[in-house]
Amino acid sequence: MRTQRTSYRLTAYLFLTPNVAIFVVFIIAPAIYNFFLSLYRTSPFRPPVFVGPENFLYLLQKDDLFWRAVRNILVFVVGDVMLITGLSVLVGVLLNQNVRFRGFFRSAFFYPVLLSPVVVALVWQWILNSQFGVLNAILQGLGLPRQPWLLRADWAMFWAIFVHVWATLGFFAMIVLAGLQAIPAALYEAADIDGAGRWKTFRHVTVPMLMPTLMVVLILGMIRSFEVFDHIYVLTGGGPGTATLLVVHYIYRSAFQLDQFGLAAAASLVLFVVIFTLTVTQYLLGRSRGSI
Amino acid sequence: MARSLPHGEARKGKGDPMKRAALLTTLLLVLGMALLASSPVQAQVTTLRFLWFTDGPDKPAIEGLVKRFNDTNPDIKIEFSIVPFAELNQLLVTQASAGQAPDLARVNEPYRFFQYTLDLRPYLKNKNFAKDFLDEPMRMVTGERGELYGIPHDLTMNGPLVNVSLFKKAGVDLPKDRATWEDWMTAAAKVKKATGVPFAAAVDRSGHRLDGFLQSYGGGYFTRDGKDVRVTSAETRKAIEAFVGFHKDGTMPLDIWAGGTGYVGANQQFVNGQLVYYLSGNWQVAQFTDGIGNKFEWKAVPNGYETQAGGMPGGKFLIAFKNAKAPDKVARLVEFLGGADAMTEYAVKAMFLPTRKDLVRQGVKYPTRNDDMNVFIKGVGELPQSAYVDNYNLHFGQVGNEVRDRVTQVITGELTVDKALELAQTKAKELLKQ
Repeated sequence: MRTQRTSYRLTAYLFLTPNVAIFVVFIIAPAIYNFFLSLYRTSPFRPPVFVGPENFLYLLQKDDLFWRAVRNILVFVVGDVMLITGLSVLVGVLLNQNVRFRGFFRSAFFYPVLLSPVVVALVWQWILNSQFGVLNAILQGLGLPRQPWLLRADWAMFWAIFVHVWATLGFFAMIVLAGLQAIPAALYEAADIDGAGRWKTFRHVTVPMLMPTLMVVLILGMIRSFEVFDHIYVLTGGGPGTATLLVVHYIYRSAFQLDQFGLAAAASLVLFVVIFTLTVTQYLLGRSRGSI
Repeated sequence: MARSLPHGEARKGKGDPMKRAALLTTLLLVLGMALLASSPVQAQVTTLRFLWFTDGPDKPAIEGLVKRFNDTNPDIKIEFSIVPFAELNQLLVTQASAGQAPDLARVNEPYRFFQYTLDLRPYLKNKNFAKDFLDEPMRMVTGERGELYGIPHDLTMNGPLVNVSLFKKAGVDLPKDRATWEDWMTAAAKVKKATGVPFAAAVDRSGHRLDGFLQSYGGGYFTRDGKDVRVTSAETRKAIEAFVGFHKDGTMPLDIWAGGTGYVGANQQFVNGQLVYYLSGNWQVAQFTDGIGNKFEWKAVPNGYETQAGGMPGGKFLIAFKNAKAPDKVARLVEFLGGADAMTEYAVKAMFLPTRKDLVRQGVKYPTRNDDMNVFIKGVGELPQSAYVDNYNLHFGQVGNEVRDRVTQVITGELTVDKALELAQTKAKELLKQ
């Protein structure tokens, strides 16, 4: 009996080993290397020099671009997560209705998720081009003036959030849809018997039962927002100026345009700490409310 | 008691299956080894990986040379691949740090890779090979202790190209020699207004192009000795104010310089006939010859002249990497591509300027657009020394990127000129410590 249990355990570890090995080699080891890299000043011309916390002090005390990127990412995350959460509930509820061509609508909403972020951003860049874009052509056709959609700071951030939401909404809507379909029908029947209208049913049955799913959407949405790179890099390049320069773009610029790999590593560590803290906080809040 | 083997008994008289399997495996192994052994050519051919990025017209030129080399060196096969310029540096750094760099690569900032590059000196047949090339560009691929990591492969010169057809249509004369930038911008703005094209003038979003503009005011990034930065100098400040002013008054569009991080070119706008005046460089001549054809008349003109001639030299380099498995063969390829014959063919076909002293001395006759190419060659002759000091400084790429991005912040109204230059100067000093 004991031999059999040991054998089962060993088999389980054996099956887990390849995954764990990949995780260690491609996630844990680079993360540890990144930590050590953040303590060095790197150069393409000479060996790295140990500088201790100098990179972190520079980031936090001297670098205006880093703080600009932090401000931008907070604006982006708040806007992106609020829209994603609200719209995914709306879309999930709509896709859960028993209507004709329901399958088509579900595919249509999910389709942008399958597209490469580069393709999505390029297409929207063309749509929003200030000289030749489709959107401005429509505006001109209606007798309205052309707009510098991606050349004004406020519009650029709006469109950055819009494009990201457009590209990822389908993914979160499917999560919400799965959550909706897991709600027992008996609860809706009971609410119906008690004479609850659609809105009351939604408020007192659907929303509480959907809370665990919404926590997942919130946490995942927040992590993905903090880490966004491809869409913004292609759509605005972080511009105009630094209007849409997010932390990951700051890291990319420091590493590949200024050859400051140590500084980039330090910035990525700061980003990791922020995301980790927020995620744990959300998770604990969700647990305390019984949502998870 | 012997175990009975039902399958053995059932197959009695038909031969042992294990023995049959062993015999078949042995036969297959022998056959496989025989096949391998019968390909002597494959076993002796060395494959060299050659990574390239293209400006357009250089592609057929280099492909022709690669083919010629493959045909005349049967023991070497070049695996030639092209990557986009915007991705080149991070791709190479990533590959090189993993020991997977190509054997040879075309780059524009060779110093980024010095910790991964191969010293070719022990493998070159011509021990004076380095002396065949122009001194300043050659320094960019020479290590601190004289190591030879590659060669300068082509020289470039920044300079403007204008849509002559639009000038004629607008009835505006082209400014004469030694015209200032203001003269050119005023003329371009008049042409734009008269013809209705969307863009009067544009400059590639590049620290290199910007420095060429600054040079004409006596400005620039580095001090004479190259050991410090002078981004906040009065001359540089005056030039930046002028540059920003051309954007604020609408002469230059925000579409190019108001972008975020990274290089943005305005060549498509010029090729499509939407741009009157385009500050770029000679590398555009060949691709514009093909891309524009007879659609409209265009030509190269001198850089704006303020207190001195503007413009910046540049160029691309071929560098070898130390993870090469056959460094002697890599050296053979480098000597071939850097030879007078191959370089002449390359320069003429790609419409680039050569980097060999003998070819610069005797000149190169281009089959088409010879006048345009000579405008650039003449520009090289008028370049101030400070242009060479800047361009061939090891930190030029990094400082150029920083100044470029800060100037963008001024154009979009995020910073004043003074604040932007102060921040750029501080950051540039930090970068010099690297």
